[in-house]
Amino acid sequence: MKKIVLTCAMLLSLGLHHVMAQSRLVRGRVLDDKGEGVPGASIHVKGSTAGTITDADGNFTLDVPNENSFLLIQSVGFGDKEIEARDGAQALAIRISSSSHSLDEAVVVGYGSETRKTLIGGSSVIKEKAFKDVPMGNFTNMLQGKAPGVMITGQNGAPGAPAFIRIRGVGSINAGQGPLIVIDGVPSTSEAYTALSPNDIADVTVLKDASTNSIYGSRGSNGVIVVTTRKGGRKGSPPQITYGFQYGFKSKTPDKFKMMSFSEKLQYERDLGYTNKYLKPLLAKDSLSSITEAPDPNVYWNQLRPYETDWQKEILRTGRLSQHDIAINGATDKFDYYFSLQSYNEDGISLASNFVRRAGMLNVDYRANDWLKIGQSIRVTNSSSKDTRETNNVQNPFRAIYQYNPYEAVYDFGTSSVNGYNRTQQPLNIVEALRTNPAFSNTLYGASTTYLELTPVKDITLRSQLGLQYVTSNGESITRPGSMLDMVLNGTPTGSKTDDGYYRFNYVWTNTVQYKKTFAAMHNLKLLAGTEFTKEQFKSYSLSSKGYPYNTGLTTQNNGSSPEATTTARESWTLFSLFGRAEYSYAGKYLANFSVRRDGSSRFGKDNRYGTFIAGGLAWNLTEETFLKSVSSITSMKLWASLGTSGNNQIGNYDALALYKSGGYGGQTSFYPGNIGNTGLTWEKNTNYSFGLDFGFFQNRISGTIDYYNRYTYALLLDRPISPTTGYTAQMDNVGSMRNSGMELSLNLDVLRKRDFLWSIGGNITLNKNRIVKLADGEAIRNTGTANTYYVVGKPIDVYYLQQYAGVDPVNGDELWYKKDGTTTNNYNEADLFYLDKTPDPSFFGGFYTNLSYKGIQLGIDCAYAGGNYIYNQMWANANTPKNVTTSNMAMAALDYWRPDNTGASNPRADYNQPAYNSDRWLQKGNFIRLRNVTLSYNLPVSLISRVKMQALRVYVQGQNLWYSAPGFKGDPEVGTGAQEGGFLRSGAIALYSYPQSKVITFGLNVTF
Amino acid sequence: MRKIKIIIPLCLMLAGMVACRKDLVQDPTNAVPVEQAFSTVNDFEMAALGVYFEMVHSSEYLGAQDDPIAWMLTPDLLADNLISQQTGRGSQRTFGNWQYSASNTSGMFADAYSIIRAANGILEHIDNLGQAPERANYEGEALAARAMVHFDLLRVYAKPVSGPRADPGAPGVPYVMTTDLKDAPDRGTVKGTYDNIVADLIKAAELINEKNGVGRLNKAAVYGLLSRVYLYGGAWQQCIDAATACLAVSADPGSRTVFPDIWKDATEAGVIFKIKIMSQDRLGGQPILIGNGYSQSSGNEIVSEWVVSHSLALLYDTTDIRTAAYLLKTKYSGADYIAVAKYRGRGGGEAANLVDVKYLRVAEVLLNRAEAYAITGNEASALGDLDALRSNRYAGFSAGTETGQALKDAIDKERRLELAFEGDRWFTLKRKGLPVARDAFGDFADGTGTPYFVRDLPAGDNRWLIPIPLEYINANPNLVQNPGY
Repeated sequence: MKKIVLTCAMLLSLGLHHVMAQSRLVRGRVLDDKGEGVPGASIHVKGSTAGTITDADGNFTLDVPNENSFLLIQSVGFGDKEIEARDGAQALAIRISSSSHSLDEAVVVGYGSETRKTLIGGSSVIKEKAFKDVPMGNFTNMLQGKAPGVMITGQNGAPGAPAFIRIRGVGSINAGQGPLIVIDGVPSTSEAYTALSPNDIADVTVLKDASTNSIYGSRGSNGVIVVTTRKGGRKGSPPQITYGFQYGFKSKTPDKFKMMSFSEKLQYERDLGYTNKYLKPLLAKDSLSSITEAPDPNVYWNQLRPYETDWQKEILRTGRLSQHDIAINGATDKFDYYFSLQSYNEDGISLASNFVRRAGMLNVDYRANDWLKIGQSIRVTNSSSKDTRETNNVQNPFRAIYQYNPYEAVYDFGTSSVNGYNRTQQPLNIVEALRTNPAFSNTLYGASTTYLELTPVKDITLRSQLGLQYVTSNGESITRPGSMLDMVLNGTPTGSKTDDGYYRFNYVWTNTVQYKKTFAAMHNLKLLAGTEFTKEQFKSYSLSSKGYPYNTGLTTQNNGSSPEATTTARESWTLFSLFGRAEYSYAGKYLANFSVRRDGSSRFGKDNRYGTFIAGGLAWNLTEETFLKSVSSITSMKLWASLGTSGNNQIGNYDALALYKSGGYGGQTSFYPGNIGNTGLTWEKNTNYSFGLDFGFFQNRISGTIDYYNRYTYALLLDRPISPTTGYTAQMDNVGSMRNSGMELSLNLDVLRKRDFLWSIGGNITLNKNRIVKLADGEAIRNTGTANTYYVVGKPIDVYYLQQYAGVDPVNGDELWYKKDGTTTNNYNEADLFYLDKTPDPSFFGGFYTNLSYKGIQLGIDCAYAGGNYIYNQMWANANTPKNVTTSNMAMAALDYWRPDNTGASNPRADYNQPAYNSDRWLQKGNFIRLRNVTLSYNLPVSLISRVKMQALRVYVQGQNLWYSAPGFKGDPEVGTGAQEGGFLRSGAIALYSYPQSKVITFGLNVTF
Repeated sequence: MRKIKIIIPLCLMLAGMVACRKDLVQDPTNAVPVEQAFSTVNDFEMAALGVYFEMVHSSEYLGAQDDPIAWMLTPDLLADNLISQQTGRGSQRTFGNWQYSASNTSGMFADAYSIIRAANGILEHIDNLGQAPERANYEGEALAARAMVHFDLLRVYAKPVSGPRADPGAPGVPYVMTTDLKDAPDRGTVKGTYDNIVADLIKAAELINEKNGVGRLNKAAVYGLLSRVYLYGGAWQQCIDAATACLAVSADPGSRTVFPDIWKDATEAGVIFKIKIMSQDRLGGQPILIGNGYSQSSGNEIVSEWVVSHSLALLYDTTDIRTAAYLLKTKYSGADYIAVAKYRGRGGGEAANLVDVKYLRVAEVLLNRAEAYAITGNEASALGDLDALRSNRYAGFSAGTETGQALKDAIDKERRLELAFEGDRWFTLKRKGLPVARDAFGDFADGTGTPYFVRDLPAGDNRWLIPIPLEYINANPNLVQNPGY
């Protein structure tokens, strides 16, 4: 298949080359922002092999074929420029501008676009390069460290898994905390993040402040991420064909879990007086029941030696990643097109784990005449994956790698073996389970956007756009008859199978009218009004049956002899909106905007469906003032401020309704109180003000932004605890408020801008402070999604509430905890709980980079960092709690426990009858810095490749997550969710055997014809 | 042309404006608003069944596997009927070792009140039925369910009503008779809660049908529950009367022939009320397997969490049908254990450990009455009841001759043997003000192996009262925590 695609591409590209006809000579000079000649810039005739480079003064001459009249000018450190090559004796003067923060760069905002110069507010633009060929399956992960104010944490390391995105702190407690993601003007369903091929992204704008996100009204409060996909290019661009390929390897990032060896674990067990199930029959032969009774334990231990196993090796593997992309883009006067195909394959780091994406996309815009334009964008993606069980039990391979004992065999172990596999002490064998209990899913995502744009009279544009998204997702989970899990579940070989999945259809119909006019060459006015209607329908099903034949191919539901649970669900929600915006600027110096949006949502109480959100912003381009125009060292300087409101409606579709739900009892229908409801439920509201300074000095050699923000969320959609005697433990209500405030700073520095040599460095940092201002009744509220964090007034969201570990009593080895009066106790029931000023959210985070290029060689290094957060390390607690000696391998650190001859030990007396005690002993600092990406690439010289009809050929090698440092934490510090079974979906709160992050090394090439 | 240019967009915008307003009402398709849930007799029928649905889906109470409190397991391991198998997963050892705390305890409290809410929903709307003939039965069922669950809460969280450790003025559990979401009651007193339970049961007994089936509360069940409640309350004559009224409807404790089938749900003999669990029922997406807390299959072996304590196993005589019906000899990794057979499932292709919760049986009512007779000095009747049970359990049984203390001991012994692993033992010890005094044996079938970590819990120790979860006390400060937590 891949070969066919490639061959087609080659044929296409060859066919498109024109026969050289007459040519003419074009002369010109390439100039920079200051009007000085740019040496070494490359000049290309688009669609032909003709090209040259400028001399030391920026001059060039070039033979241009008649049919191809567009020149592409490229130079390191400058943005690409295309111009029409005109005949004539007069030399062309071509101005190119510095690539970083070019003032004319388009910035896409809600229902329109701005330029850097006309934009009010602290939006960040992340360009194509951040997404191009990054070896990750989901573009949301690629935003990490790229923009100030945007905190990215991978939900887990599973292939294709998305990331948690938090913009300017965590803005809600029980309603959604993630931003709205808008792809090509259509608010997207969550499946779109995984379905979108990152190589199709032209850029991503992060809207963070009120003046830009308030236009999204009820969904704007957590920020908005606007994704723009690639288009055909400038008018007259001939077809350009690009092909990319990469291949690489991935492995688990290293952690600091040093687990006990074969001998250490056996010795430890003996010291604790525990005899494992493998030793028991061996001892029984000599009429012994316990290893402690054995005069020489080595006699028995040595008999286990042949079964010594490195479980990490058995369960983990080196994953492979391969990717093929082909894209064709171009534009004529009337027609603009972009076409792409992608195939992405990622094998996970464990057996039975992979992710495959096949995506196709076509963007077409057609300008029929001077008043009519139509366009269509279609994206269809099929993603499929084999999944490991994300549970906190024996079915999770990433728990197994830590917990299986080194003396336990994978395969046949005499009496305790099943199907040739050793059952282990867990008692399951994950190597067997991964093979006999496969789970896989397949998701089809289709998005279509159709629009019509009319210009009935000059200055007025009317646009009607229909965005459709269709998702079907099917999962299958099989337990083969006779497998270990089957025996646990059914007692006799039975086999079971569950099919579950859903269907989602979402449509967004947007109508806008825009008026744009400049009066007296000074007053620029832009007015926008519009309506939008969104409806989403959702259906899901789950079918299971039992009693399957041994034939592994027979797995449909009708192969099962007895049907089990069957459930389906159907939900829908709607949103109707009216919105408007006015923008005014005076001579490019003073800018002002104002927006308003009124939303009606089906999710809220009958009398509280509507909400109105308004915002305004002001900006002042200082460099347009005469007093600064003469200061040549200041290239640009803009001061801005904005204030406004937005909302949050990310709650369940029927949370406002008190409902009796149906369920079966004894095979009959019953109705039970299933939904507490609250008829008064309405929007969570958000008041946001921010101000900032954008600056550029010395032709933007130094550029950056400084922003301050203050986001006050009130009428929080909060699960307010109520007396459990009501039959419910909480009721969602609009109570409480919270504030996020902080500073964002980004800085880019072009250290060197030489003819062949460019070196830039840059970075960003965000300091965020989150405080809960008010809660219902002033009481602390437990977060049921983490088990040990609370919401407390005056403290950040989710402070840990735990017993405080006071070390080991040197006299008797007891574990000690603090009481409120400062004394210690060895009685856990007397230990007091403390609200610790520690939270799972980083108080600072960001990223930095450096790019070096010398001639065709480029080196890019990206780092991301975060800190100030704490993670409850349940994995480390489990590896060190003596209770687990009976089932699991343990950390070497557990060997240093209190004994009469080791009274200064770091761990208490080891007694496996003591339960696991939660305390801040297992709370670890999450500060980390990570080498996110290193890419070394080489662009072959045009002179060389033009002979084989190529415009560009780039080869590269890159490494993702090659290194990290997290001094306070055991394990990879990028902790998203814990394993899902516990329902611990709060980002960063608990480390609990979720799919680990991986390290990836790939090689690739890009060819442009 | 120019007209078209204007008209097309205007039409579109207009359509966009008007089409959408009524679409803002989106009703759920698998649920009904509360105000529509109690209109017809059939609505009440489904709401009544909803009470049992809540019971099945109480994940830390009646439908629980190994989470505390699993009703058919935890009270036995809190006492001396079970010992933790060392090679198991170690589940519930916090309870077995009496190590629970306010932040590591049972969530049964909230589960129980969600059942009570379902019952109160029926009672609050019962007038909607007017004078319909079905009204009395639904009202009776709801009252009985409300009383039953409150009584279990009282047994778990509060001090005894009677006996040497009685403290009737100590905090009870809130007796909730409303669905008002603002209601945040205090715990009242033990006596107050007890009186409410009795009142509800007496009223329910008048109203409820005799024939609702054993899968629902019924007249025999209400009288049976009353006999249990009076026994805990030390109201001996009332206990006798209630038991008599119950046994008048249902007197057969199950013969030796059918007895083992009770635990496979193959017969309803001897069962007065049970909570039915079907293979299609799901809790958190998983089948509800109440036996999982005891044992699971592993290959061809059975690995148990909790096995029968050696001293209890020795009490079962070879002529006792319960020896085979209750005890299961298992071998795991070369060691022999005595596991609990009661919850291994129905067999016949159904999931292992899938079985109904036998909540109230005739045998218990006989034992309740026997105990009350013995205490009130009616030894002949006491012995009669005891023999009515024993003759259906022991092969070749000849009538007993015990009198005095020996008779009382025989009743206690039979109670332990008959109701073992049904959530009785802990409450019986607590009711009588006795300590837990576990044996010194290990977990193996022959009594060797790893012994109990802790053996003794003195009578009156604070750990006889399970702590209320801290977050519930935070949510309702009128609830006071039990002492010592």
